[in-house]
Amino acid sequence: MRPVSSLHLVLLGLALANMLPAMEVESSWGLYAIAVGCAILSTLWLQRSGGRALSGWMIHFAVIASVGFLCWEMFGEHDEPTIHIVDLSHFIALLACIKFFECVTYRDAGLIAVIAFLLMAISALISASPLFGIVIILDLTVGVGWLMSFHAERDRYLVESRMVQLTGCEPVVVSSNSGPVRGPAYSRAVGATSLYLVVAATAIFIFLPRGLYGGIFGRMHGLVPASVTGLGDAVELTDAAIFEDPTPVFKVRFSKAGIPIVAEDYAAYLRAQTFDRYYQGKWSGTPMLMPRTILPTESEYPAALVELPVTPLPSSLLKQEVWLDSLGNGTLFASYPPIMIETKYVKGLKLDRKDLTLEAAGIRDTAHYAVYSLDTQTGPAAEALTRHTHPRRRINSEIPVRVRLFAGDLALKFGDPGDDLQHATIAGGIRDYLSGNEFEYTLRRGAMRKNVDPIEDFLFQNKKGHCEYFATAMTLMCQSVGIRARLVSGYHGGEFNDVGGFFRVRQRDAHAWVEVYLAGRGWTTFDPTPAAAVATRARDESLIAGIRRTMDFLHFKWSTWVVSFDQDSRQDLAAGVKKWLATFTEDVDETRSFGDLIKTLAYGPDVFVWWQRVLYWLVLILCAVLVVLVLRVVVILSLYIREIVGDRGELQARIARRPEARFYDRLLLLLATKGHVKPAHVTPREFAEQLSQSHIDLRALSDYTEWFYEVQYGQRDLSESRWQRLRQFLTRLREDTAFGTRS
Amino acid sequence: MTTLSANAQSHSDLVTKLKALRANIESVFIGKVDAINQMLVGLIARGHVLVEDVPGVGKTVLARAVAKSIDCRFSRVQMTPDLLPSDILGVSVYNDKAGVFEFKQGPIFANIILADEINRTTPRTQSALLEAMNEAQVSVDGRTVRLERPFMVIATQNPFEFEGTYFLPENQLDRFLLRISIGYPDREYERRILREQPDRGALESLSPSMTGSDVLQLQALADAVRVDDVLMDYLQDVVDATRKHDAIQVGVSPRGALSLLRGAKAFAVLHGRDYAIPDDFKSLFLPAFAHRLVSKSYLHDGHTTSTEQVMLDILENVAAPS
Amino acid sequence: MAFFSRRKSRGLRNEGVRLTRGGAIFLIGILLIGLTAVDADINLLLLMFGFCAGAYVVNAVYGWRALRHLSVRRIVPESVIAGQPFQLRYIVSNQHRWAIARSVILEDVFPRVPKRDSPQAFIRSLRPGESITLNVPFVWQDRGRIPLFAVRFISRFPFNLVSKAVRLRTEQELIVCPALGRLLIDPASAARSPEASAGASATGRSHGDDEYAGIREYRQGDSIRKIYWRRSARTGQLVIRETTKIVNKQYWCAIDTRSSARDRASSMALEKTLSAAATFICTALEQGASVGLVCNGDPLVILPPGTGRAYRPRLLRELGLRVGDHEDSLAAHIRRHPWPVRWQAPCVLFSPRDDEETRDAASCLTRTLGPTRVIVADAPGFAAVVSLPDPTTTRSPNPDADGRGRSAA
Repeated sequence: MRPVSSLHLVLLGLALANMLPAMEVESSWGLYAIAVGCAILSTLWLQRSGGRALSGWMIHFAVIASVGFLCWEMFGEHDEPTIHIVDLSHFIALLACIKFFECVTYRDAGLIAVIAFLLMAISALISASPLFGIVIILDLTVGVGWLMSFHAERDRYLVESRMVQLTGCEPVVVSSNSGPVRGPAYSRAVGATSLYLVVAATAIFIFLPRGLYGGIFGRMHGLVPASVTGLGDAVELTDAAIFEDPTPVFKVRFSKAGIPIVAEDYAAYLRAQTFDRYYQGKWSGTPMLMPRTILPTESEYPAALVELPVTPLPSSLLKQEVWLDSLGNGTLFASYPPIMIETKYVKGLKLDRKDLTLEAAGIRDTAHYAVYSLDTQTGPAAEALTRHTHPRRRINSEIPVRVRLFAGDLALKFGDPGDDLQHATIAGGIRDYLSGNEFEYTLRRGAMRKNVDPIEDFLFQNKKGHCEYFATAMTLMCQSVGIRARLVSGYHGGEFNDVGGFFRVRQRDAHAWVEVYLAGRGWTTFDPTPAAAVATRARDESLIAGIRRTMDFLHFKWSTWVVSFDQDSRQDLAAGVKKWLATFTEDVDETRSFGDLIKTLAYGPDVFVWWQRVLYWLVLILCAVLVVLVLRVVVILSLYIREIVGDRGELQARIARRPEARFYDRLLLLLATKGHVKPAHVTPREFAEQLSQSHIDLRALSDYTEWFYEVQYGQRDLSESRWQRLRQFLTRLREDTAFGTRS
Repeated sequence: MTTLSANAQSHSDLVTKLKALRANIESVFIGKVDAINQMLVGLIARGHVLVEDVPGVGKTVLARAVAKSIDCRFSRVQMTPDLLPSDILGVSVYNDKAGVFEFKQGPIFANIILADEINRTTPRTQSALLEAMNEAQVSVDGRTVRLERPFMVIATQNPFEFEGTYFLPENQLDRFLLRISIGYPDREYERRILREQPDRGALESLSPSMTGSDVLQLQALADAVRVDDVLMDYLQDVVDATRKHDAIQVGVSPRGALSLLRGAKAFAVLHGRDYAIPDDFKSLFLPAFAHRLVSKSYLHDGHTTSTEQVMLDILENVAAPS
Repeated sequence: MAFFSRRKSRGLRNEGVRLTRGGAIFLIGILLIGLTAVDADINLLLLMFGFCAGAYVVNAVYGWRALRHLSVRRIVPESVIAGQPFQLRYIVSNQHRWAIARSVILEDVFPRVPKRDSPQAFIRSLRPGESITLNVPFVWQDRGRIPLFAVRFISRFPFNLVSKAVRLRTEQELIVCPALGRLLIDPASAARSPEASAGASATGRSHGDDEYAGIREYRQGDSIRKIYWRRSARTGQLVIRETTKIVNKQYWCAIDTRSSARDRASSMALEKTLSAAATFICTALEQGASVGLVCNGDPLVILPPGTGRAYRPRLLRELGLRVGDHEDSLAAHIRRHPWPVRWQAPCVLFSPRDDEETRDAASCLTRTLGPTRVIVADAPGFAAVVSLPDPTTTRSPNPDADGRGRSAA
């Protein structure tokens, strides 16, 4: 491989690109700069020295230095525990830098390609950024083209050098009747290959099973940030980063005593679920105790959720009209405490008497309900409620010791935890402490550390986190000092739509806060998350922000559909496909004409927006390519199998050689060893005539051929004397090496 | 194992008669054995034969020899440009005395017809002859008269004549089973000709060595010849090759393949066998196919010899059964 | 006349796909990655596994169409000398309608030759309908007949993970003539046996077919009839017209190929004999003489003296086809055969060993054909007559082995 050819430069570029995702995870930009510098220097060096690599001792020195660096990284003193595989990626990157200087032969170039591949594999383990996807696309286009050229060059070089070695001259193309070459050499091949690769990889990606983890390699999930804002059944504090999901969840209109609330910054806390018990980074929800079925069937009339002896005043009731966008898991959202519910689209409604959370068994697509919640903590209704919602038995969370001690110290600053009446101040103080300047709200808090409780990490080390961390911290601290507190998840905020007069609530508005039981006031809402979190949600209309939102959106899609694609995603995908097929077959049932059917199949359902349609076509094309690929594989396999197994039988059937006539095959074989090969287009008789004339020994061949004809085509049998003669002749041919070679 | 339709006794009779027939013909026609064989193949395979060659090599002699050696009616038609179809088929003549139209049979009502210089007559007459050949019957005056079997037409044409000729178009050439090319005789044969100076007398004094019914029996024998599947494959391979060759516009039609099959069977019978061998097929490919192929560079002059080269090329490239 | 044969791709035996060495190693790595990905549920790793597995599938599936529709025609040179490189010519054409054949390696299947050492050529790309002519050099060290059966097309496009091969039958035969060396003596002197009188030709009378060669001064003993009187009168010194006799030089090359195939020394002696004979023949033919060949064995070869460009390959082919392993007596054949007078000429007998038979044959030859000189392969004087390239040392061509003889003296 001649140095500084275009192949060489492309290789260096690709290697640097493949290093990027691995370096980006730990932001090792210094190392990356070293790599870029090495690439440039090596190009200049190889150009100047006419293709000679660096001298041996320099290479050895560099390798030893890299090993030393690796050891220092792995075992040296650090504040944070390191992830060894990242160190390994640094080491391999350094090896690549050394190899840049040594890239003279084809084998060296192959080694650099292998190193780049290893770095991509490592970055697949540790990185989750869309940079990986971008580099993959680069590899698919430029990388595939490079591989093709590289291997073609290498093959050519190997063949020619072998021929030169054997004979001293190389093979030469004398002439060819081709015209001038139009276009780049491999463009068509690269296009087809990339398409096949994408389709094959996507098919394997979707269809391979998930969830078989737990084996030898353990679960490496902690390295990969993989979640989104939104609600789930559990709250888990494990993620290094969260992406904002703009999917809309529901629309809500607030009104009080008939007057709609239209203030843009009005933000109500709409609860979904409560969690009481914390264990090693996870909050588990309490199962519904004594759920009460409110509405077994649809009903037109409002139903009371809580039986109060006193009817609350309309002015103290906050009416929330909610239109749900998707079914979700049946949770209904309402502000605390919900008193009445009015809907006819919900059935099987269940209410937890203590936690006052709502769950519906059946919700129609166009689910719409209205909940009336008490908006005040004073008044006879509120007092009645307080008695009604006395907390149940204490449920113990496992609070880390350090947190418990710290909470105790902190609480003492605000009051006496033993005194029930001071709980309010203590809770407020804790809330202020957390939402103060010491802690920072961020969605991306960095990689998790092993063997450290997330809350400890949050409170004492890395004082950054999102709402779940703040809420968890407050809840745990309250629980440590004996204040009854629970974590609540739900939605807070939303975008006010002037036209409709409602708030559009999205997944990114999901929030976690705390409810503390205060004597005399009941469960009170506390939100320890710094107020800046809400402020940052204000919509920024500038172009940069728009680009940022688009990038975030793409990043989000990458995370959900590639990085965290699991069984559930697969089931969602399957469900989506089934849903589309269902709508399709419904159309079929409506007796549409065949042409319309084809049109729907090709054009997509009518409900599609333009970009959805483009995606749909893309999916169709990819499916077609997949089908083609599978067909080709099947064809090749079947050919192969037929070659091994069936073709022999076919061949035999074709010839249908009678057993008596097999002597002719033996005869042909023996003649071939003497150098008389029968060309395929010559009949046996012609062959015999040729040989009989030119070779004295083979004079009798014509007779034998006529006998063969009799046996094979005339289906007669040979007499014994003729067999004898034949046998003699064949024996003579076989034994006597000179017999039959010359006239 | 196929049994012959005739019993063994008459089979050997037929074989002897064939030998005598051949000897008979060879006594007056001194030339290539291939030509004689091919003519006899045409006879036994119930086909018609086109003899295409330069003048003076013995086309007429051969045809007459064959006709004379078989005890049957022979007629010769010299195709001139002014020949009318009725001159071949026959004409209805009003018989005054009887008061009816009598059909006077034309020369086509014979067993072996020699149509000399078929390319010199008008297409109308050509097609009249060829129709009769194809259907073995003549419809005249509203009646159809069947032609007597055995029925064979030997047509001759001179390929190098261009003035005033109407060469047979391809679809009509297709009706001829074989195209025989006699060629100049070998030196020794020519020497014999020069020495013996055979004249008309010898031809006239030929006595038949076979009857028409013998010929019919031979034809039945040919139908019963056993052809192996491998040979069928070979035939079809060659036919496929002609259809796919670069230089050929129109390959061999199924009628052509069928003709070759019949010819190969007749060839086997001619050599006294009741089974076909690959050489039967191979030796007949050229005569049977060369005139059915239309080459891409076909100049409309009726030249059929350029396809021979292509045919040879194809034969070289198709694997023969072994 | 070059030998060639042509075979289309239909009806061939497909050799199928095979993992290359790099492909096998990579496969192990990929399987590890795949297991890790499935086990630890890492999606990006699974994606990478998908791409790599897809690369295998693509490599095995892509590029078959054109490969299966390649046709090749091999043209073999008419005479091949052992130890000298020759050119095999291949005409490869792509007969598919639209598929391009890429990165195809053409490999000729030689019997008993490992794949690495067989003649190979690389075709970068062959577009539909395109045909390309390749000259591939090759060298063969042993004399004899080589049957060639097949040509193989191998393609590892695009990733070199899986190799697809297709084999086409093209049957031909290559006859390798014995290796040529250098004749260290003049053929004329080689043919002249030491026993024959040296002055015999000098006393021979000229038969009138003389050629004028120049004027030189008169020396004692020259024929007086040759004196050119006019010039002598003018210059005052006696000069004669010198003529050279046009002699139709003719030699016989007799070879005794008695040897035993089982005995290695005897086979090697036979090869040396044949090489020496070939060298002699070539040198003599280069000088314009006619050379005849008589050789025992099965069958007996007697080729009358002939000259010209076409004769040399014929003679060498016969030598190439010689098979030892018999005890046929050359003398017996010589005695039995009638030899016409016009064939009488000096003779050189090459023999692998010097024994009773050889001497017998030499005397027979002397009686029937002419003065015979015996050159024995095993004898110590052999190296002074012919210098042959050593077959065991190098595989590269010997640049001197072109059959040109040079006089040592």
